[in-house]
Amino acid sequence: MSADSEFLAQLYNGLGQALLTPPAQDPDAEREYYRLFLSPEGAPCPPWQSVYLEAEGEKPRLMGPPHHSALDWYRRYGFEPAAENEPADHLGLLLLFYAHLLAAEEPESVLASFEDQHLAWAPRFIEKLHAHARHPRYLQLAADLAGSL
Amino acid sequence: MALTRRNLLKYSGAAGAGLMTAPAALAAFDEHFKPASGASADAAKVVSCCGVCSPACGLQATVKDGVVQFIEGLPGDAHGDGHLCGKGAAGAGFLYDPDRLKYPMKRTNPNKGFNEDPGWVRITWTEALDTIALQMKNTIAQSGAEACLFVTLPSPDLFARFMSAMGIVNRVDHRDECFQSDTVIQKYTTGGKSWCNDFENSKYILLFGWDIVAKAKLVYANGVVKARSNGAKVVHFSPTYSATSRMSNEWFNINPGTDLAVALAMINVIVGESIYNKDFVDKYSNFTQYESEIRAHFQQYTPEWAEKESGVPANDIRRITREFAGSGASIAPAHKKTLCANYMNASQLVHAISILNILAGTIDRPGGRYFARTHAIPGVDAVYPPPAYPAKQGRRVDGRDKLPFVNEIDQGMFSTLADGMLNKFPGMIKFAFWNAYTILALPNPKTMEEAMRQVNFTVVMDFIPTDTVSMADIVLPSAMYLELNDAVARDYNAKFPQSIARTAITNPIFETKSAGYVAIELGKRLCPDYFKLSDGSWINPNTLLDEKVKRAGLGTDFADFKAKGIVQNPAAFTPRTTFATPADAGGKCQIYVPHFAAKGAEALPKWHTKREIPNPDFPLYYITFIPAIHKRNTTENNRILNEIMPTNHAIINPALASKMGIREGQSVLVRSRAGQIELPAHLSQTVRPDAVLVAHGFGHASRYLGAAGGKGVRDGDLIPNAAIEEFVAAGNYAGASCIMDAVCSIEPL
Repeated sequence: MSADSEFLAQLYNGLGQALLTPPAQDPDAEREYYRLFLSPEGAPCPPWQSVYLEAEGEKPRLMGPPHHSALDWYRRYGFEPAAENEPADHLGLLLLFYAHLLAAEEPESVLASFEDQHLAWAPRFIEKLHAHARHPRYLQLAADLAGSL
Repeated sequence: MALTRRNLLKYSGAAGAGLMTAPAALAAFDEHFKPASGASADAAKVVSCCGVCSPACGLQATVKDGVVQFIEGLPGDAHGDGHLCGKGAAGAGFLYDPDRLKYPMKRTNPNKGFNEDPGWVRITWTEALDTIALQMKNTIAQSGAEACLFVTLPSPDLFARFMSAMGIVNRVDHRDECFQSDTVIQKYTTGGKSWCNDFENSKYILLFGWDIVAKAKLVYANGVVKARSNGAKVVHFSPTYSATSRMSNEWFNINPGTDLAVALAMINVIVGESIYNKDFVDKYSNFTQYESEIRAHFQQYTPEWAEKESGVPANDIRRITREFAGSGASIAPAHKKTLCANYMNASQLVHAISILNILAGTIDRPGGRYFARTHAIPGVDAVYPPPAYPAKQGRRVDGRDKLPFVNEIDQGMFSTLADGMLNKFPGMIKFAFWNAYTILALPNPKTMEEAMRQVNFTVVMDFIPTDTVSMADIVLPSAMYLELNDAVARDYNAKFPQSIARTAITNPIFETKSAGYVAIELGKRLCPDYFKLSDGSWINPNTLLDEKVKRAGLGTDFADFKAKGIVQNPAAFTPRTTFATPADAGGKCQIYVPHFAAKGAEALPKWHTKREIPNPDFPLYYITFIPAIHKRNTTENNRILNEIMPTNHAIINPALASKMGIREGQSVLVRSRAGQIELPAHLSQTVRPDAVLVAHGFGHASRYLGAAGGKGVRDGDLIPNAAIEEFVAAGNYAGASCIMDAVCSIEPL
């Protein structure tokens, strides 16, 4: 793997991991993670692509067309999300998979295709994250995502 | 994006520095992905039944890769007639609501209230169940079972078994706002509550307040439409001009809460002119036994008297009564959360309606109210008989024991719960478990919020965020009807048995589970003897369902039943000749109910006014309704349904608007003695000039509920809750809540 690819793979991997895993060692940040993404009172920053399809005339939902498309991508490379019965279009999963494509040094056309299909919506999520985050960790995550996508 | 990648490399020192972890981070991929086990599958159709409401209309779902794409009616099915209502068709909108509760969670901030951040964190199911069990155990040890409140229907049967095993005395539900009065009355007058109305063979359908074609069940709406096509006459008494008013032959703009006067006058005419169905009434009712009492009692309720109360002309009452009695197949259905079932005088009204049906001679006869012919699907206690349940000891927090006829059917009482918790037994409830109910369902939710603050530990199990979640200590995510298996003996259009398999057309999403699972797991921790089988193993819900299916004769096991989809046993309809009224009624329907009189209620229905009538402070009737496109307070966040009706308005007549200087869309303040709401006005000729009409179900406060959060107002904020003594004093022995009974004022803002 080239140094560039390795760097990028690690970058997106880290961002994906931050979106998928609450920091258990930091209780304030952990609560912020759940408030932003999984609050049982309605979360302000849902991290699933299917929720962000209003521009394409779709209603916000889970398990919409991007879930199926993401699953197809993963399966083409021999993978599935480890969590069963959960949407495949979680931004964290998409970023981990993107890192996998980078690490595998997939050609530019493949990377661009995945970006168009599964990362182009991210700015709308990042905007929400930026607006709602209070804890420095998630303000930083919003900035890092904005700088990386 | 490619440009971003190049830029990132160029400026790699700056970007991502805050969060990027060491190179080992690539291991995250292995944590969140696994080797593929299958390929993407083509879409397929799966048959099941709807679970939005109870008739269980047949449905077929298009499912791709385990994900429901589309839901439609099941062609040829007797319930729904191949169609679904808007709510049923929008099933995927419930299933894939982005706001669905996903994992068990616990509060880390002990301060409760809408302005507090609860500090939710995810926990495992094991931690959630262990914590709940410990809290419940300690509560019962210190304060007795009466300190535990369960806000839930007694279902599924496994959950009912758990509550019985724990000796829970305080289980409350919404049925006082719904069909409870009919359950009480039918038990004594015709022998039991039934959901079957043979509209399609009716010649004359008399509706008191029920917007039957727009609201509630497709199976009823279809029946009434068919009846109309067959030439039946439909007469509608309603203070709003609804879809049903429009398709009726005659609509009477009755004064709110006076349906009882019309029903009493109709009995006066039928009895006075002796135009009842003599064959049925003499053979199958206690009319002859109490004839003199009945004739004497109803003499006072003349059509002229009823006209003064109701505004319905005496001549029309007389004419309609003669048509009703003379049609040969007349029906006056009583239903749930209709206007008529929710006035303070509903006990008397539902009794009077039942008498009209008996006098028409159509109980369990073609064109009338009939009893369901169903398969007998046994409950868990029949399949696995439990050890004897402990006696329920303790005080009823809602005071229901003061209403013996309600107490014995074990329903209600949302309307008196807050009063009991705040005023009668403050601090008594220390543990509360809310299952699929929100405080929006209670009259005057503000008082319920206040009552909930006094509870030490609250569990909420639901499928989407509700306002009740904001008060919870632990939240449990529910699986829903499209994710669960069950066998349903349908009892709405049931002239012969026709059961349907409810199949899990998709796996429960995230970590959602059924209430049955929770019951078993809490049972293992708190009352193991009730959940252990004779061989020492725990009750398994799948094996239980197989056994139920087998014993009901629906198949060798659930898989076999599922393959059949629907099991029907067509048989000729044989009308009942004995009725399941109390044993001393001799198998007859009861017009005069001595059992009511024996416990201080009325053997024959007397006139009572509604709870509140317009007065100088509050000069208008306040009428609430559930829109056709929504179900109670649970569907407003469904994105499909929310698009159709996203919020509520104060609907008023243009004449009232003009008098008050209110324009279309203008904000108005509507006040009652319970509180006030601010919302936009909508002008419509469908409402009387002396009334304000507001849709129920809106005003969800849950912080970020994506579609419904913060939209509209709570209709219940204007509905005063009640003390049980008021019901007793008013003769409301069937405990009908008074959610249609408030009065209000309105002013422009």
